[in-house]
Amino acid sequence: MRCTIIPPYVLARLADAADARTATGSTTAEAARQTLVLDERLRGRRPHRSRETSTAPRPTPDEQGDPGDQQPRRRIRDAGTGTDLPGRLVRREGEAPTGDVTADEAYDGLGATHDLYDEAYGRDSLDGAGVPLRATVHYGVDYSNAFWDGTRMVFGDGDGEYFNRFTISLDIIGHELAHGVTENTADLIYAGQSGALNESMSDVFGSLVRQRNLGQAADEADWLIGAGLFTARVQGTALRSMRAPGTAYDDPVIGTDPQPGHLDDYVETSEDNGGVHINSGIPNRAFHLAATAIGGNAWEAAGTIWYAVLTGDTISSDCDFATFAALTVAEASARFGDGSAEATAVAAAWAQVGLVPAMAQP
Amino acid sequence: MSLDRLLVSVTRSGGVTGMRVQRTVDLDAVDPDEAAAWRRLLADDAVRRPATPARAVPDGYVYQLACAADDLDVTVAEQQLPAEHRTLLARAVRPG
Repeated sequence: MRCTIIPPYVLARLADAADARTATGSTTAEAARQTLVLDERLRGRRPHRSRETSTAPRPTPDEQGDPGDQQPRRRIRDAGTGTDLPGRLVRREGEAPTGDVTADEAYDGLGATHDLYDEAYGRDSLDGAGVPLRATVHYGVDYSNAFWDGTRMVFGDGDGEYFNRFTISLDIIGHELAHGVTENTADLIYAGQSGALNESMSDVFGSLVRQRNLGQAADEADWLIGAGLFTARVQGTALRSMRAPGTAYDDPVIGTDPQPGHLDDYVETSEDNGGVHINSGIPNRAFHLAATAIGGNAWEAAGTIWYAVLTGDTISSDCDFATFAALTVAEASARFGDGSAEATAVAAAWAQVGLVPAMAQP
Repeated sequence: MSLDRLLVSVTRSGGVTGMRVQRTVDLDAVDPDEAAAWRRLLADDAVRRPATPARAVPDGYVYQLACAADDLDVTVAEQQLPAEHRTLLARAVRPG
């Protein structure tokens, strides 16, 4: 086939900003809320998710009958390179490894993710009420992506040429499951700034899953998302760098990491739901700065502050960067004290990425 | 080149990788079977008038499809598309 090829993966010519702006406007936000309600009805769930209480669907028969009802309740399925979900059940909680490295990586990654939420934050699974952790692997042919479908994380095998299997990075597994936590809590609308925050929550907690699993303090971690995902032919180390957004890859074929690390460089675009995977670099860097300034393990003080805001009662689904910044400063002050090292570090971190918290501080 | 030549611009964004790919497919330059698949895509209501997604799929791909000669300019999530179109679009934006 002959195509008129414009160089692949070139940075977006910045489209009219109107789309991205209206996406976070109140009218659109209200429309989004209404469609959320509709979607919940379509899925046969209650339209309103109360925080920290279970709205999980009842387990289907194949998800019952674990020996001793062990926790977590992991369910790994195999799509067999098709795109029909959920796929064939290959491993349940407590069962022996399958021998399929992808299925077993998913199983182990779900376990490490469960452990972070359970042991660091006292949260029982994605909904706070022990919902099974569901994954489908071997989705599609050469599929170079992973996503959260509202119920499960879905992983492609990569094309083998530029991308390895997507279960290879523990933080990507944590990233997808964090979408489930966000959906059950702040439910940040997946567009514009609230969408970039949604993405950033997934990078933050995905990275914390890996840091905790490796026993790395904030100053020991690489703060990369998706390390190991690229094959050797790609000039890059990972998909994103939380420490230095925009530096993760620079490759003649797949392009250059487009992430900004400062509000001045916020990208207005109609693509990618308003650049949610691009502008997440800004809050990602703020978290890295806060965690490294506080020191110690990032999942402890800094992670606890971010987790409390994400799952708290104050955040709204259309939260923007400045409001989120203010909520984290307020949380750090409430938890560690006004003028504490933690509160000071969080406020300074946001200032370094160009954000002045948007609520009056007490 | 006639003005109504069918050039289809395919832009894929989103996905957990956050990488953008843009290609233009010339329907006069692809083999007849593939051209037929593109014509089916261009004629499909699921493409021309995609339903407003009930809820965005986090890390799902988003396609922007434009064809001036066919008066098409839409944004559609991968999960809203039938399998045949997904396969066609995925092939079009393959790296390399």
